[in-house]
Amino acid sequence: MALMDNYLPLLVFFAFGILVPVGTIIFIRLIAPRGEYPRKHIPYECGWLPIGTAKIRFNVEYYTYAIVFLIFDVEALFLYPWAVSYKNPLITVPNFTLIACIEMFLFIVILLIGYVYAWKKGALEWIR
Amino acid sequence: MIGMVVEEVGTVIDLLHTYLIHIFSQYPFLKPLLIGFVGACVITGILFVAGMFVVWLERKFSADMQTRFGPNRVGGRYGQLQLLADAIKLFTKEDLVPETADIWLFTGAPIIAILSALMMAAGMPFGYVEVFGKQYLMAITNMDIGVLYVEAMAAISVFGIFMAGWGSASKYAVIGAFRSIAKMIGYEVPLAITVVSAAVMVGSLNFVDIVNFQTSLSFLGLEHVPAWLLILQPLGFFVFGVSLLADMGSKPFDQPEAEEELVAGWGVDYSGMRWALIYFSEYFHLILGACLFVLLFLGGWTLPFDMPANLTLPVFFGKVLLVILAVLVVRWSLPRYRIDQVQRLGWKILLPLSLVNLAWASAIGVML
Amino acid sequence: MNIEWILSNYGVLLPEAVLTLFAFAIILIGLKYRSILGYLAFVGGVVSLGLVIMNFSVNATLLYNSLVFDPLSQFFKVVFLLVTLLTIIASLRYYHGNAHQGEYYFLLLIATVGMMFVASANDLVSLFVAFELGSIATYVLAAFDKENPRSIEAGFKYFMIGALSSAILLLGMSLIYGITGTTNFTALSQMSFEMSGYTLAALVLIIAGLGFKMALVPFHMWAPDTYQGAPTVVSAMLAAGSKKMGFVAAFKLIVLALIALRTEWYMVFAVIAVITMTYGNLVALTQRSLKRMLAYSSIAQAGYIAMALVVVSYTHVDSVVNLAMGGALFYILSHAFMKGGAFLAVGTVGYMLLRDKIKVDEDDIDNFSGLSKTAPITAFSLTVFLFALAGIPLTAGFVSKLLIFSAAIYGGLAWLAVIAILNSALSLFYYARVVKVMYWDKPKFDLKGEPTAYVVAVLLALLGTVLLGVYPGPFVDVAMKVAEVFL
Repeated sequence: MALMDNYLPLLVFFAFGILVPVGTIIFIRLIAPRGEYPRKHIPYECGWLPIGTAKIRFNVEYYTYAIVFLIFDVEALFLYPWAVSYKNPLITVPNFTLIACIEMFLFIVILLIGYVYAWKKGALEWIR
Repeated sequence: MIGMVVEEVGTVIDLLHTYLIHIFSQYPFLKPLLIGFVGACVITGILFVAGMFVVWLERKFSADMQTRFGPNRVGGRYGQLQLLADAIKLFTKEDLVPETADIWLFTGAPIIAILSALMMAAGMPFGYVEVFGKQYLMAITNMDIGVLYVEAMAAISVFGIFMAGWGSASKYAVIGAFRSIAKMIGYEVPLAITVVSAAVMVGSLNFVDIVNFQTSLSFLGLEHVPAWLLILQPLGFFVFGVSLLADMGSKPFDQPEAEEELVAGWGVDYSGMRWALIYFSEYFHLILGACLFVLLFLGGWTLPFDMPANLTLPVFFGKVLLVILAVLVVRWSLPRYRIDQVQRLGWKILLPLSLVNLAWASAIGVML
Repeated sequence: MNIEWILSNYGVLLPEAVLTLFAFAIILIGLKYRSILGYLAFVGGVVSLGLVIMNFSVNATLLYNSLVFDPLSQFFKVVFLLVTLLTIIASLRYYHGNAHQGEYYFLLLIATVGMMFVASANDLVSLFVAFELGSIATYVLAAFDKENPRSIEAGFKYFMIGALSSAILLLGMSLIYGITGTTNFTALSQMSFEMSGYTLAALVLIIAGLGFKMALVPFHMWAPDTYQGAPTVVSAMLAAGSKKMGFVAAFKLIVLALIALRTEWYMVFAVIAVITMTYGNLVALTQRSLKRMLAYSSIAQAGYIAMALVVVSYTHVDSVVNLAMGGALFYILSHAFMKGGAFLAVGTVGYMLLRDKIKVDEDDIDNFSGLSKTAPITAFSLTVFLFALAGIPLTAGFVSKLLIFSAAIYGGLAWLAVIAILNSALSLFYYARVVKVMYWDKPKFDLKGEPTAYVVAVLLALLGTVLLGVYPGPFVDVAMKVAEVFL
């Protein structure tokens, strides 16, 4: 029942985490004062009337960053199971730790080549 | 007379105990539900109180650092009740939603922010409590993937920030939200790799295992030297600390809400209690980030010698307080980076360093 | 744990390892020096080819039986490496001075590594991963001339269809894993299946997923556009190499692993094979773009090769199975030379037009008029390749068709052989038309000399085509020997 013991409380927490802010917001809507003055609802722009929409497109630089991030984040995720089984006494393969070490070394070296490539190609520059 | 009462109370408790055990064994889902419910109430309460305390602490602390007084009117010389006054003010403010806002995103943002913090807290253990000779772990859950879980939940908060920025549809807010995402992208990877390094050295992602590993270096014959990962992986400590600061949006990394250029960044159009929720969630993240830091690198609730189980909670929270103070020192003494400098630090310095640390951790891990 | 132990256990991985190392070296060196990259890639390919041939008759499994190294896998590796080498030689000229050479040769070598691992895969998971490695690199290659909208279109279509087919293939694989509880081919081949809705769905999904890669007819839509739009050197690689990756995967999955299922399915394969060859030949008749014509001809050839699958599912006589699979393998080898050579010859003309700054569609049939006068070597080679594709004696195409068609007849599928022969006759028409244009029409453009690198590549392919046609004995023996894996 470890599954239930460990994850059922999380479900309760999830419900709580939704209920607390929702409850607060509903409570506020009930008790907060209301004044009718339409100018209050204009988005803040240091006192000026907003010009144009705020939903702009942002720099394409994000794109390369996001791709590099995706690769490295997946790498990090892949490292987790490796890290846990690295010294696991239940694994009886001889020389397992050494083999795991070498395999991960190869994996990271390949990633590093990509990293060096991305760096040299300027994918990690914010301003180009 | 008193002895009889104690005895009777004892029998009643015993009866209740056996009855509860009976019920729990019959309905196995009751116990976790009960733990979840009680835990949620307690942790939410503690978090809000601690959050208020940290807000007060920060105001006083920053005032001291800048030779000001800080809050000193409400509730005595140290302004202890200032936050209560602020809370009353916030509760009675008008609930404003800008007309350009996407109402669902705008409302959802504080929910996600608070949810992320609460879910994060649910994964962490805080120490032991000993009652009637039995030790209980003060944790909602004790998952084998605890560290991964907490990290995942912490990462969710960035959705809240982006929803807030994009949803309020103000230019400052949108730029702040974009910056926040960019920052998260740069620092999530070193953070994750450092956590992996810690897990490699310990051989587990379970918080309790990680903390027990750090008790002392007795396996090297050094009985009273702490085996904190701070000592075993100084590089990892540095990388993790900086990345955590960045993820919390603390001062050298607060570009998303830089007051001087973006007014308040992604939160500019929030006011009243909605703003308070987001503001509190930031402080929750500060507190919980400090907890994570203590658990992973400062030996959690242990000290390198034997101590009674009931001391673990004070030790833990003492360490957390120290970490928070350290964060405040950093926060109020360093200037803000430019956004491209932030990216350069994350991608070109911390990421290689974290990989070096991983190599170091796996090499040392083989030997330990 | 010392060097000898590693070599004796993992030595069979050396060709792939060498190729990977060269690929990484290329992409890092390519950041600074660009002129030597092509030669470096060539050296890597040659070393790798040498290592594969040295280890031709190994029999080893690696990494918990997820990779197998047997004559079958080595045979396909030889084919892949030969195609890659031809492509590299031609690219030496085509991408001379290109700013992105490093990426180009890197992707080329990595695609080859992926294809080689597909040949070695002995597990659904390793097959899929290798398949993706081989595919993703080629998606980028197809779009490599990013100034050319056609090339972008080619890459985009190839990518969309390829991604879809990967998803379909993966779904089929997951169903198989769900039914049997294993992903290993050796274990799968010993299972006995009951025909049920799940197995049906799994088989349909797998045939569809692999059919996309092999460009069999209901799944062929991407092939003409991609082969036409991609840089011609890449088209050669796609048609002659990458497509074979689909075939080796299909042979491994359908013939080796799902041995228990295949008997029920001969009719499906037969229909697919017949439609594929007929459709390919019929549509090729009307093409004006030579690359497009070659693409459709390539579809038709896939139909001929797929006949092996039909025969193998229909009959259980060992000698016939051996003949069919051996024929298919020989066909794949000779198709690599014929089709690769034909694309490279077309590419030569395209390159000459580009070099001499003549602005026309690079592969329109009019460009080839009178080619025998302006570019005699290319014209002659292209003639041989086209006749080989049609199956004229003394070329590789004839021997391979002979083998496969006789396997069909021995297997009791005479009607299939008849359809295939009629198709070959039909195909001769559009091949001969190109030859007529090259030799009897007046030259349209004044082309100045043939580029050496291209000519070398084309001549090498020509050598292969003629050698396999004139002196096929030892090669057929090898193919038959390799095909014994399927018994």
